[in-house]
Amino acid sequence: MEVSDCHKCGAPQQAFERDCPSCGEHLGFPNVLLANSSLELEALESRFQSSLSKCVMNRSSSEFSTLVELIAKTSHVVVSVPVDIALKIVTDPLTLYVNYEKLVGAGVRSRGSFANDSHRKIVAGALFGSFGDQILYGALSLNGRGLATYGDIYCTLKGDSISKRTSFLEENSYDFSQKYKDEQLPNGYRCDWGNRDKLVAIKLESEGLIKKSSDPKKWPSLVLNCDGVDRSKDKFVEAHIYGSFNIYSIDKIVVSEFMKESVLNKSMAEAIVDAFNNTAS
Amino acid sequence: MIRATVSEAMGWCIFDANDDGAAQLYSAFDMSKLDPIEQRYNLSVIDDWRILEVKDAESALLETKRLANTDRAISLLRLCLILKNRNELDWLYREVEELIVSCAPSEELIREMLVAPFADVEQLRDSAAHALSRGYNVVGNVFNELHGYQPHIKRLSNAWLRLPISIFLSLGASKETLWSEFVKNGLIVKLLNATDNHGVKRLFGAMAFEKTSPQERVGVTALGAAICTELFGNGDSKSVLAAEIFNDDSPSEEDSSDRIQVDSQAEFQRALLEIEGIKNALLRGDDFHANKYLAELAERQIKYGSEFAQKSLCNIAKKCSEMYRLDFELVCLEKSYLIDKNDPWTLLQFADYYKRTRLYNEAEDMAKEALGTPHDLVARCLIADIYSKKGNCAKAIQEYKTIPGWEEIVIVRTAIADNLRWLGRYDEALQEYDLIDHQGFGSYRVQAGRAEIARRQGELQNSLELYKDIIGFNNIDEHSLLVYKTAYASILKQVGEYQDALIMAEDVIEQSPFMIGTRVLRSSLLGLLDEGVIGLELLPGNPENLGNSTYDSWLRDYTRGVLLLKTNKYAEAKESLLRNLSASSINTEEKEILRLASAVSCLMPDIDKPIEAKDLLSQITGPCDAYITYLKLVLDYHVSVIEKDKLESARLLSELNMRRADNLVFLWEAVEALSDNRISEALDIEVESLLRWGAIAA
Repeated sequence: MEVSDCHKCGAPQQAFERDCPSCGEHLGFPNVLLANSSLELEALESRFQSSLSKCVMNRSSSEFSTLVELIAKTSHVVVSVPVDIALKIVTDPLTLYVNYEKLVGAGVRSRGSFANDSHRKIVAGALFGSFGDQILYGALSLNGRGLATYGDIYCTLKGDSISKRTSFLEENSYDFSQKYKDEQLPNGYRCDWGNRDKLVAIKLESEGLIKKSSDPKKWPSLVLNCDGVDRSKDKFVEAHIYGSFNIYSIDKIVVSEFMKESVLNKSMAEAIVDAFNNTAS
Repeated sequence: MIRATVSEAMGWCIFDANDDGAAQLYSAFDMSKLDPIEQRYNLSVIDDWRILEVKDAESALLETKRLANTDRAISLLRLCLILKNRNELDWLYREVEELIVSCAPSEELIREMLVAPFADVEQLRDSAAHALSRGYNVVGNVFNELHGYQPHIKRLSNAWLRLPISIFLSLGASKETLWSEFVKNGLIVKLLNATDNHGVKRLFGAMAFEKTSPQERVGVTALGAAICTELFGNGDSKSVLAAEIFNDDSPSEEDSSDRIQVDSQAEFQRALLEIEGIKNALLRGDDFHANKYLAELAERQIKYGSEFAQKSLCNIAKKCSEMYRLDFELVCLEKSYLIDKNDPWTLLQFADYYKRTRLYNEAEDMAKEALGTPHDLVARCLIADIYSKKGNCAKAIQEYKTIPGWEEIVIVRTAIADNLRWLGRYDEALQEYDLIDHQGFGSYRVQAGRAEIARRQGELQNSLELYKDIIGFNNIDEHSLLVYKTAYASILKQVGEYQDALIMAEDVIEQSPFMIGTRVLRSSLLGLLDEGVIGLELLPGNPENLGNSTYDSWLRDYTRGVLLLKTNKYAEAKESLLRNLSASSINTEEKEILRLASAVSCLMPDIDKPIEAKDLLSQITGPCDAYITYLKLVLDYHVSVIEKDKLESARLLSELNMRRADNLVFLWEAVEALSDNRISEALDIEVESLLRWGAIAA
């Protein structure tokens, strides 16, 4: 995959880096640069045109257009977190949250032992190369619901906080990298914030979910589907956010519909939402 | 030992990669193994991870669980503060209390939550009141304590922020990192509890002592000094700063009509609580509030009669004297004296204060005013004790014997025996101690008298044994125990057990940071352990709140002088020692010790004034303990060697040889060095012997 020279000093870049190692100029977020490489963009556009053509043939082009518009206007990224982390988020506003692998970069663990972790390489290494530990994972959503299989509290991130540093992958990155583990990962399956509408439309069309007279009310559950139990059945567009976030990056907190009912759970979840609203206000 | 990387926020524990290259990720809550790939969706708190080195994986998981529960308890406490609707918080309080009781001690929570001042201090107070009103005392008390610390953490953090970056360079850590480290290791709480600049310096001094590199030690010491300057400035700035901090934090005044309706018993109980409150405020270094509470208490109690107010003031003064807060003691006594100049308790306590500050004439005058009152016996004893302190033990004994029926009063007989001891009449003193014992009135005080006689006679092992017995006594009061522990440590020092002595001294200082004598002892021990610079740093200063003539201040100046000799600052040392020689407040024996040290300073290479030394030594005439007597002889010999007075040298050598004892081997080495003309080596031993002198007597 081609890597552009530094736009300021012209130094050739070896890999997707956030800052030019030569002059320190900010080059952009590596995951977004990767998604915006010409090969990815061309392949994405090609897939989009192909999907659109199929919908025209199926007389569902109007639904296709409606979906694209809806995604562009209202979709957002939701990060699902366990109750304890949500509690921490609302009670310690200054704390930053990162991918847990980032601790490698913080020098807490010896880089050797963890960076060479063979399992970890399957996903982060294949998709992001050296900056995998900078990536936070979320899911694209239309209604503030997230993946309950990863946590009972859904945090909707503010578009303004993450749009420049977020990219998307058509499916769960583990499934994706497993599917192509013996070959080159295909282009056209990831995008930046601005092209997420196209990616979702392509995905739903390829799965045969865009039909004539499709009910727009069902779009949210088609974009993100989770039964709260089995992760392998989760269907979603995966969001990759570069860096960290804190409470001020969060727009809304919602309790999962799958949360196990108990007085303590319910009280705690309500308290977290209240506390978030108090802090955010 | 194994290494594990743990997250407090997550309760996760990662063990290093195994043979197949996979890191092992566990949740400490249910001890379950997690899939690192699936967990990539999970979040982690930045800077939350730390390395644990433990004996096995199970220990790592248990420790992780404990840390995670503490972290959770802190989050829940914060949640209590954030939630505006407090009506349904019982479950939350219950949850926190369970965590505190089972695995997250409240001290640890408070320590971790004192990372910065709270933005809304009133919320803490309201939350404390709410939790207490709902019966959740543990949570309520945590909030109360946090509330109490707020002015101090605000003051400390502001001071910290004002520190120049340059101070942190030698420590190799940023301001922020170091602050976080201090929060974690509990130093912040200790600093908040430090009552004055010495308390703060002591904490940093102890920390410096743990550092291995000189650079770090210097850095830590400099940091402590800078913080002290920021916090306390010089003198008056302390109260100004305190006023700035507390001006928005005044407790509400009660309606005056309510006060009058309070019955005397309730008032008494209330006064006791308030006295404790004033003591606690002083312990925290919160003089502003202590003064405020004191004024309120006195003003209110006057309405019940002056004697109530005076008793309370004397009570507080007594507590101040126990804390060595002589400045505040004086404030209380002056207030009480203004209320009624004839109140015998005030007169006696004032006299005792003057005695301790070595203003003996004022003390005597004040005590005499209490003669003929119902407290006549106490007044006479006090007057006699003042004579003792002035060095006139014979007159003291005479005074004691004017007390009607003194033969029947054990405390008077013990005091007479002590005076015999100070006069060097050891046999008579021992006889009297034995008699008191045989009559069944023996106490640890009698035992301490024997221990001191043993010390002065050079029987140091015997003295140690006797002090060891005293420390094991069951009925000994807390303050006396600390005094005897200090005396014990002092003799340990004299026999060369420096490390054990240091541990004992630190233990005492930990319990009573105001004991100047013990702190001086620690400094001399540090000097003996080749940490003279740190010893000087940790030496108590001469702050405004201690006056310039307390019991042990001469000893502080003596130790300072000898430490300066030890660190090769001869001129400064000599000047310091000689200056104190002219002080009127020190007695004959103390002057003689200072003369010895001054003589050594005159023999130092850069000074080289043996004639001055000889003159100083010739002025030492009184009865001294065996150690000092021998040291004087060594110095006499030193002068004779320098003056090449062979006849005198031979005479002194013969006397030194004759008086040689097992516990004086150390000093004999100086004699040998002098005989071989190894003057510099002899000087080193002489300086060390001055530091070794067990000056802290019970």
